[in-house]
Amino acid sequence: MTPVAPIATLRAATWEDALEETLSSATHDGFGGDLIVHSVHDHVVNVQCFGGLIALAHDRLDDAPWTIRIPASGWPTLRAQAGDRVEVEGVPGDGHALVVHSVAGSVRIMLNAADRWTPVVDARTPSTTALRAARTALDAFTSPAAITPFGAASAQALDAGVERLRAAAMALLHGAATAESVTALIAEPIAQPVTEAARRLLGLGEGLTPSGDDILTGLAFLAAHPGFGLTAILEPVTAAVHDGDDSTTLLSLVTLRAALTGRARRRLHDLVTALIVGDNPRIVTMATETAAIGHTSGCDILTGIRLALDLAETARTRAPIPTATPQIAPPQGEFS
Amino acid sequence: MTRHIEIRKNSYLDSVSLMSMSTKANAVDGVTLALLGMATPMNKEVLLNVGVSDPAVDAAKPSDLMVVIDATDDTIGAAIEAVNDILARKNKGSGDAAEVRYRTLDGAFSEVADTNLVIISVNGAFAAREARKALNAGKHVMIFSDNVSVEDELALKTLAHEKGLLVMGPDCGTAIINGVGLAFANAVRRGNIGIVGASGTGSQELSVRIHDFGGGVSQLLGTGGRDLSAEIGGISMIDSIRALDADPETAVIVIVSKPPAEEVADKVLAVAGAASKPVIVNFLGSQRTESGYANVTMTSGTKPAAVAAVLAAGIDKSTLDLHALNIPLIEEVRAKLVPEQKYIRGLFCGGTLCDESMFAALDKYDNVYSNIQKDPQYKIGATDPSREHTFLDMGDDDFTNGRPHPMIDPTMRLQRLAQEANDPEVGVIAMDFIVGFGSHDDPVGVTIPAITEAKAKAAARGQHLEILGYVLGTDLDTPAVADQIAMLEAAGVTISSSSTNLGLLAREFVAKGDN
Repeated sequence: MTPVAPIATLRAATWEDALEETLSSATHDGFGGDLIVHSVHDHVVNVQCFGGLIALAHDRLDDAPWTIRIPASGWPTLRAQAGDRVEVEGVPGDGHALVVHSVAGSVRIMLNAADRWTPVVDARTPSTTALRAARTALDAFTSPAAITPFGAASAQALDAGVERLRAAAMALLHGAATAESVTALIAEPIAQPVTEAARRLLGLGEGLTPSGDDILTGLAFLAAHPGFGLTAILEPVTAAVHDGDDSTTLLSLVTLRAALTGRARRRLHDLVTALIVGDNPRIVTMATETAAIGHTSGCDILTGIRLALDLAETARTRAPIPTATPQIAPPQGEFS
Repeated sequence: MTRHIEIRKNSYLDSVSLMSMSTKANAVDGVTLALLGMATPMNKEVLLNVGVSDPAVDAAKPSDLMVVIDATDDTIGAAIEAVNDILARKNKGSGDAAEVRYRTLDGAFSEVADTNLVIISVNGAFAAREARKALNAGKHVMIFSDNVSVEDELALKTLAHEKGLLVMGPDCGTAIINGVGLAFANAVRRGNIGIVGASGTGSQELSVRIHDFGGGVSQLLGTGGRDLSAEIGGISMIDSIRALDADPETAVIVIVSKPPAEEVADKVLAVAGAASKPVIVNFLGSQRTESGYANVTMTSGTKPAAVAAVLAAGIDKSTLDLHALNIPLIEEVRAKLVPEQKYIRGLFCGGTLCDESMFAALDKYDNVYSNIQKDPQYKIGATDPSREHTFLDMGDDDFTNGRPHPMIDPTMRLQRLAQEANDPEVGVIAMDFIVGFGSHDDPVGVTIPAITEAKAKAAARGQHLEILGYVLGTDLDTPAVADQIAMLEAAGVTISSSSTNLGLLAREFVAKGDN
């Protein structure tokens, strides 16, 4: 008996071009039959692939790393459930398609070259005035107060974690001002506290992407833009994320890895461009859109971006501090 | 105060949902504290910091959801239920399946330790591997997948037999276990008749006929179509007969299969003969009429098998409507067909239904072609045009390779119906319509336009085209059989009351002269 249902075919609205290499590997390695649907949400279906995730997203959502956007008209046909099999197909002309096999039927999603989305890291350097204006504009987007007991229980640890990271990063950036090279700097013990502080935020807080991860995402994404002068913190944060497989959710890890390479949702790219050029109305618009991500995720990302802006200002002072390694005492009541 | 701690494996609820559920859970009467968070090391520390310590939390992984509920002693049960209800409703509303889904068998076994049956429906290349895992974990297995090698099937069934377990399949499309239909199945009354089937639609037909005659089904066990081959040796059939013999809720056992290997038939009949209960056997197309055992009755078709089963189960024969062949109807149809219209074309979704009709035709005619004919001289392929009497099992791999099964999607069959209607030598087109779990939700409705068109084509050349239909299903199925039949009758289709009668009627409609 062959329980096959008709295969519906639809064309992706857009897809991130970093997927090209992943999908090519899948087809060339004959690996195409082993992808599975990892999780299903209202407007996103996550597919597990090579230890990462590919998101099939309703096109009401914006472009994002590892994401294939599905036109609204085709979304209802994608009735996938966790555990469903997904195949990668090579398409003549060097294209690719994903075929999602679900109980309700199979859906082939064509990825046409014309529909690629390529996230661009804006490498321009913002003026100090622009930095300060941006920081002020983002002050209005603080994370909402915790409304659940778990949120309340983790809030204090989050605040402490952010301050620990701030202090460690500042020390690192001051050190960077005097180090001969970033390579030399990260070999120094001064980088290690940043890694430790990042580890203490990984997986901390509410949500499928816990708040600590979202904060790190905001920080890492801005740091990946060289004009902000924060590249020194990328390596130690990367080290924390690299070792973080057992520290947080897969979705968080995938998001963080992308942020560290300067890739994030399209609205975040637009926000950073507005920050760089000092376009205040645009900053407010894009920050508002960012804040709308998830329940607290967007605001937590903005918390990370604010932290990055603070650090960027500090980096510009280039004033070395006397102690090599900051010793941050945990606030009273924080767990060890 | 009582604390309930639960780890929900691989729970990927989005942040908004988690937050919303946490808020609602804390508002449930009797709950003093409900904590929901992903089980990351840092979040475990958060719990530890508020005094929650438990080995289950320690063992949880970042992909797991931790649920901690504190409630008063007299309300903890209701509180847990209320929180679970919120979580279940959210799962359903977010597009996830209402039931929990696991990515691996191991994950499912660790969560639901008392599971005793696993249904495997994966690519055939992986089915044996998963089935072996299940057997080694002490579970019975139903393999829906096809394309499992004979070697793997033999190894799996041997392993199962040694462990006292049952393997149903591969390519097992039908089962009813404790009243629950699995894969393709019909809603039938529960009762004391146990069915073992090596043919999917044959088992469905038996269960439906038994229901129609007032009987009920205790269990319906599938074995997969190859079980009675010489290579497999009927391992699952034999184990199933013994299991039903030991089942206190089963009083009568019915076996249905396409023709088995002779030596396997002997073994199966010997086991049946050793059973303590009446056993009714229907080896379709077999010439055997005697079993050699007092408690084993050989029958010639699915309907006779069902009749024998319900009688053995205690149904009063005087209450049965046996639907004897309608001779006036046969005469009426014969009168409508012109001499040129000599042939039957059978377009079937169900393989066993096709077999049964084909065997009925073979009793009278030699020139019977089919894609499931054993005689190579009369075997035709899916793309070959029909010849003389042709019976097509359109659910066979020939037709379904890369295409939907006709029980799900009728497209191929509709196209074939249009082709057959072009042939002026065709007098009867026989078709089955299968309703129930897993099938198309309106198999008749989607076929009516093609039936109307086919009849119109024949009428345009001055012929009556007899379309003979059989709807396999019960009054409890969705859609209701009565509604499907009414639609067919309105379209001028003659209705058969069973698979057995379908073959007999088709055969008789086109009989000419001294036939």
